[in-house]
Amino acid sequence: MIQKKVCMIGAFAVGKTSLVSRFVKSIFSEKYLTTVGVKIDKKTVTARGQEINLILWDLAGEDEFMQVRMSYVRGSSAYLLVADGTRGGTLDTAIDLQRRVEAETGKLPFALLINKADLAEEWETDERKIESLSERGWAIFRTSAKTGASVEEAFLALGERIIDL
Amino acid sequence: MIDAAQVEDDSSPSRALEQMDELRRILLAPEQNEIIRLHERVEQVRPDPENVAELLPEAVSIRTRKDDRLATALMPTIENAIGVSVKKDPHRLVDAIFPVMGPAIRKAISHAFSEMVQSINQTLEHSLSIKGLKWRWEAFRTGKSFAEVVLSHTLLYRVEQVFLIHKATGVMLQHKARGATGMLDSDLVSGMLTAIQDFVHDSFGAQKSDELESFRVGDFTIWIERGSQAVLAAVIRGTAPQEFRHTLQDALDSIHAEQREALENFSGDSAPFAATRPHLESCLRDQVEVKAKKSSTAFWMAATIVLLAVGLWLFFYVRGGLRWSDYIASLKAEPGLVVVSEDRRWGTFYVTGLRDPLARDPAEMLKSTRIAAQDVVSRWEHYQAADPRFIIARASRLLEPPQSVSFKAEEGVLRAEGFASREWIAQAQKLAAFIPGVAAFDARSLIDADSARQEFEGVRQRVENRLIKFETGSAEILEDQAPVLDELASDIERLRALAQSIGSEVRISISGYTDPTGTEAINATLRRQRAENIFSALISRGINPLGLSASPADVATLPRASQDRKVNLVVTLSDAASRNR
Repeated sequence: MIQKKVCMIGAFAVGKTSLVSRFVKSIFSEKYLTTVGVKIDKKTVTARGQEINLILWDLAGEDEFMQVRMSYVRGSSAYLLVADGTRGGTLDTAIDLQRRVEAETGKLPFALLINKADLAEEWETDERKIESLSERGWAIFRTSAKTGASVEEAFLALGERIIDL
Repeated sequence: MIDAAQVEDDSSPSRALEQMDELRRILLAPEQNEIIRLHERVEQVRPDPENVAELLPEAVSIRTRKDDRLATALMPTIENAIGVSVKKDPHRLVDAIFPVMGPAIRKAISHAFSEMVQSINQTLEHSLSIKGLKWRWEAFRTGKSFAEVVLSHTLLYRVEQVFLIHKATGVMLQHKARGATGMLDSDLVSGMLTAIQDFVHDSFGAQKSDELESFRVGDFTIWIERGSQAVLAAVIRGTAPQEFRHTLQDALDSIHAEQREALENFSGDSAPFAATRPHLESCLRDQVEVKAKKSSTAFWMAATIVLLAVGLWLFFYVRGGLRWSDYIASLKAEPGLVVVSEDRRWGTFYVTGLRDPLARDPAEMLKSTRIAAQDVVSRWEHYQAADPRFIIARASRLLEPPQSVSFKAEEGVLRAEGFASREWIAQAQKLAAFIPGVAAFDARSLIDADSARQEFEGVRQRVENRLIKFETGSAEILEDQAPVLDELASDIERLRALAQSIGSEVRISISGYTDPTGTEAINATLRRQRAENIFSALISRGINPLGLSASPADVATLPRASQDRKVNLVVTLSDAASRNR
């Protein structure tokens, strides 16, 4: 069984935790995020016929008062960027975070999850921006914590990218 | 100047000097005055404070770098200054150092207080339990304080879990738990442990080398040991000794050495690290076990020694007891000794009793046993034994009987047998009353030797005076001689009985006589025949021939007047006892 460290990062309140809570094994409470700034979960996926344990480091969301601790990111094999589709600024944060993470860890597989896809009428993300990211080779998933849409696919895709590496 | 020199050459030397001085004054007066002023200033040197203030910090720092003489020089001054300051207003100094001292003091006090509370708790907890009593005994035995003993026993630990974590990724490589303690997902715990280390390092680590070494949660302490590639985290219940750090380091070093390649090329596959299990298991230490083993060895050794000692003691005690009871039995069997009480206390034997002065000495008897004389305390009271043997012995001592007397003792009656002089018998009858244990003296079986002899003499004379007459030329016993022979026979019997009663024997010689008529040849035959015939006649009357002899009398030595046709007897008495001897 292969185990890989995977970080989940994004702006504050993009729904990272609720996004994965239905799909991962978790033993620690939400309090960890606000105290230690990280919460560890586990997600097992089968990619290319191989089981991988993704050790998910759910990092506290970034806002104007708190930055993501880059020391938590070190040692990751991949990362998930999470943005909130109803708050355009969060995508910029995600892009900024991607840059900072890559500066810290070098090139790693990652995926961008744009959450709250169920709230289509409140969607205010610039589609062109998404497209341009897509053109740059970003794996982008429109997910919904509420319906669970695309969450499994996102994990699976990330798992495959890790295997392919 | 050349002109002046020439002028000087023309005049006297003193004049020249004066002129030289004059010239010097004119030329150099302002400078000279300045030199004098400076000189005076240098003489009464008083450094300009402003200049000193400018130079002082630099001077101090240069001097301090060079050596510590400045510090030494300043020390008394500073000490004085502090002393004066405290005397003047102590609050100023207190205020100044409080930010430093306050927290330190608070910490020390709270630490001491929590230790004291813990110690009180432990003391209370262990005071009344069996374990507590055992520890009290140990404290008493070893001379340690009770608190120390309690601490040494409560300083136990048990390593519940060990995590081997990949340093860079926080991924768990291997996990070992004691029993079912690893209930939480160890992968997640490993990640969180790593996160916490990062968190602590980022938040509080002032330097790069500062790392989280341990943290405490309730009963558990988590110790973290770092290597270049991997981290070993041990979850410990209780308080582990500092040596356990070395155990962790050793295990981690071994893992690094054996798994160097796997660690360097780690890509999430923890399978190769299954080989590190023994190292992790070696970290699952348990001090209770070690202690218990040690103490149990000591306990068994002590128990064996005690058991051996008890066994030896028991052996000697029982053997001593057996010897003692044998001795007591022999004392009881001994006549003249009465054991009243016997006891054994703390290895010493006690015996009290009664002893006849004539009985065997108990101390002598003790020598033949294997009991040490110093272990025995004995007290013997004198008494007179009623045993016949002792009565007889006592009687023999007091009465000094002749050999012909023997004693018998029966139910307080001392009976004497045999014969003795009349005098002795009379004395014995008087003295016998004084012999302890003798109620009566029975002398009825005792023969008065003196009267027996007297009677013997009478009968002997009668026998010797009796003549048995014969016809001329005949050895035939005349018919009328029969009653004489009868009397003779009974007298002989009596003589023998008397002799026997006083321990003597009788010898009787029968002599045959003839008158001087007739030829000597016939007479000789007649003398022998007459004697022999009487011998036969006496035998036929039931006289034992032993001690009886018949022979012709030696007439040649006899005067003619006493020669007659007769037979007579001569009785001699001999001491049978002396002859037998």
